[in-house]
Amino acid sequence: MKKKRGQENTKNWSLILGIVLVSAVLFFVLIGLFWTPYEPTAISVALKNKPPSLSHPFGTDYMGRDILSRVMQGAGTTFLISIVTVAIGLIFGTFIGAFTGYYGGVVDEILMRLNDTLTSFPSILLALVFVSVIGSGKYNIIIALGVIFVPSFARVVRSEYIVQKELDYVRNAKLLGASDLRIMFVHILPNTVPILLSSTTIGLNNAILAEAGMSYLSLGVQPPDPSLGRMLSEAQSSSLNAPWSALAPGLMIVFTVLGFSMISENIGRGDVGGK
Amino acid sequence: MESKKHLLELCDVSIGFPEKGKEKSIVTRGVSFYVEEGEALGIVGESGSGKSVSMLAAVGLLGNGGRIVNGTIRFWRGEEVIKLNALGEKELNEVRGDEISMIFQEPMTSLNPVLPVGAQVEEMLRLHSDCPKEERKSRVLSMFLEAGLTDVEALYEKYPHQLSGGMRQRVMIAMAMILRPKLLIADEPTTALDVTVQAKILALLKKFQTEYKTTIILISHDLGVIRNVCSRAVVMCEGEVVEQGEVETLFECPKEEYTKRLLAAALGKGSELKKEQNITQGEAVVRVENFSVFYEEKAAALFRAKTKKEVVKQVSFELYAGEIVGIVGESGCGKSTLAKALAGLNSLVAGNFYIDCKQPQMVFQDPYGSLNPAKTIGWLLTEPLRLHHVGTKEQQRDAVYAMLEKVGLSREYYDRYPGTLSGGQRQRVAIAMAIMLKRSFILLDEPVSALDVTVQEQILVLLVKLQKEFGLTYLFISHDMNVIHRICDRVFVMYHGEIVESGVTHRVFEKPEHPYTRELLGARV
Repeated sequence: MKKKRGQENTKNWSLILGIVLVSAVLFFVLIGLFWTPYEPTAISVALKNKPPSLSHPFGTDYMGRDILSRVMQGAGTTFLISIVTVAIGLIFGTFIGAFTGYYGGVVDEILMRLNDTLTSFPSILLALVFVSVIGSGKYNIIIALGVIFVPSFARVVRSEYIVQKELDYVRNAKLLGASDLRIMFVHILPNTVPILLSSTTIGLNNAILAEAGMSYLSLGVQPPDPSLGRMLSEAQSSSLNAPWSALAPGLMIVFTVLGFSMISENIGRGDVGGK
Repeated sequence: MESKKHLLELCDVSIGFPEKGKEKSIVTRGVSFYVEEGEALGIVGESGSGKSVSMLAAVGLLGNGGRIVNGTIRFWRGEEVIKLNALGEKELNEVRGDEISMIFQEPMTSLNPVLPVGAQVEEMLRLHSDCPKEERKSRVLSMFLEAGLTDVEALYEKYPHQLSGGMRQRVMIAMAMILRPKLLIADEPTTALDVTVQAKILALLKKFQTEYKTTIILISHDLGVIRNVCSRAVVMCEGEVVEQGEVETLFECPKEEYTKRLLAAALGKGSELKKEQNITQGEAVVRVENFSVFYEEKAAALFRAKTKKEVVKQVSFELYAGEIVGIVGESGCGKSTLAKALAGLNSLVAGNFYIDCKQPQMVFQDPYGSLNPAKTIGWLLTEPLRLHHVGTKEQQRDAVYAMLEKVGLSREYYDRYPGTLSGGQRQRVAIAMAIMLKRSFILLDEPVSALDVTVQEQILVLLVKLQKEFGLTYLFISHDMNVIHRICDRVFVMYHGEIVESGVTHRVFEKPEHPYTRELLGARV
């Protein structure tokens, strides 16, 4: 396809910017796994609510902990939660979507109506219900959010399978004697990669925001461990006397979400896969 | 002839589309031709030759950022000559519809699906004439009648999806002709239609040309269509005008090599690709008895039972080893449904059939849909061997290389993706895939209909060669009588789900017995 030149350029720029943002964030997090300027959980009364300075570039929080160090480690936790969450959604969603889309019929009807029921509630509310049943904590949050991510992936994959299964290449594979499972996961699945990639990046964004939200409600990561959402909620209580404490975790979330959005927007337009 | 003015004239027109990177890709180079007032000009060429693009440029409808890089387009409007490529959008709108109108290939997509067709045709009058409201409807109705439509009052309120392809195209023609434009540009107006309908639409165009002195530019890849309607023709190839002149001289003694090739491919009606043989004895490879195929219609209401519609009605036939048997008929007659059912892709069947080999393979019409775009050619061709555990990995690879050579592709295609291949190359791969398992019976469902004429020729030659080499039996489904004539030993004519005539090809073509067969043969242009 031929596209307008102007469009082409802005597209490349936003893709590059997205990649730069995401890799900067990832770099930061990777360092945070091995080294932080200060001990993220070290409390110091003397350093309570210090504004940004050379020794503490983003200041300290209400317990005198270095915010930069906490963000470096907290972002790692947040990313771990969101990546595992999306992975759960992706894997189960793909299986359910593939089966229901490919076979159709009664099972499809039942599963999809269940799906509709799940999606008809706000996801945060659902996660709250899950957490109140299975208890709060880092790993329970992963399970709760993961379950909530399954329906949206299932829906996307299902609609793609409904389109693909009618194409002649699938008929051809049937004639060659390929089994249904092989057709589903060897023949059709690679053709859903472009759409899966874009929904994965969108899913990552949502998962980061969801974790932040849950921790903000103190249902996620428990103190004293840092996470981006947890830090934001703590910053709120001292928003008047230490407004800078929200800056670093907030920027981290903004950069990550922006970076992933920019990438997914470009992937979603079909530049990846196929050709 | 000298006194006639050139209604539309393209002078040295080059059209470019922006591409990735910086360079504009030029799709036509220095195209010059003209159309005289009142004549019918044909533009002929294969896909990608620039024939549609140059006409779209003339009416300012180039999409995707395409623009005229060089040259001028003159149009005789009233008493003065205007340069179409220098006009702004607003002035162009006055010329379009009023003086120049256009019909496109696919009547389904060129009509608005959410408006009744009457309102759409009436809109032309509202926008371009000061015809009072009361008169408009009666003018639309009389135009419908002229375009050969019946029951026009009811038709006025109908939506495009309620009409057949032929009716939609008639509505499009009514829409294009209602303002009595001087110039009518028809871009492949009959390509999407059945042959019998095609003949009627062409007759309608000719009628308008003689009655209203409308100038017609007919764009087509089909030389037969051009010959039928036009007096003069322009042959285009890869963005350049190869040859132009009177249709008769052009067709009788073409000068350029390309025109000759095009003619040979399109009008090779006589030249049979293989010697017709009559093998109707011995063991039948395929035996079909009272075979019916149904498809489920969507239930009309929520709790109403689904109804079954019989698409193929109680057909019986036998095929013998080494035959090529054609099934010919219009779209919707059930020929493809029959083939799919024989391949086992449709389970709603009644009656018996017996095939003397394991799962028969099939080649589909659209080579863009039948190859998985996410896999390499090598992977696709190895898949049948892998599924049936034939040989070791090395043996499989060698077998695929050998098969690629057999279908006329070099080894380097092994690692390429279908997206990088042309339609003809893809169809070669699809054929290779079908014969990879060495099954003796192959179903060919319109294997050449989606291809250009010169490519069609190559694929037909390939099919005949492979048939001889591997001793295959083909069931060849096509709507194209010429193709059937050239490669089939026997032919079945299908009409409304029934086989109305069958016999040895030359007998059916020379002495057709059923009236429908005669109609099909008569519609051949």
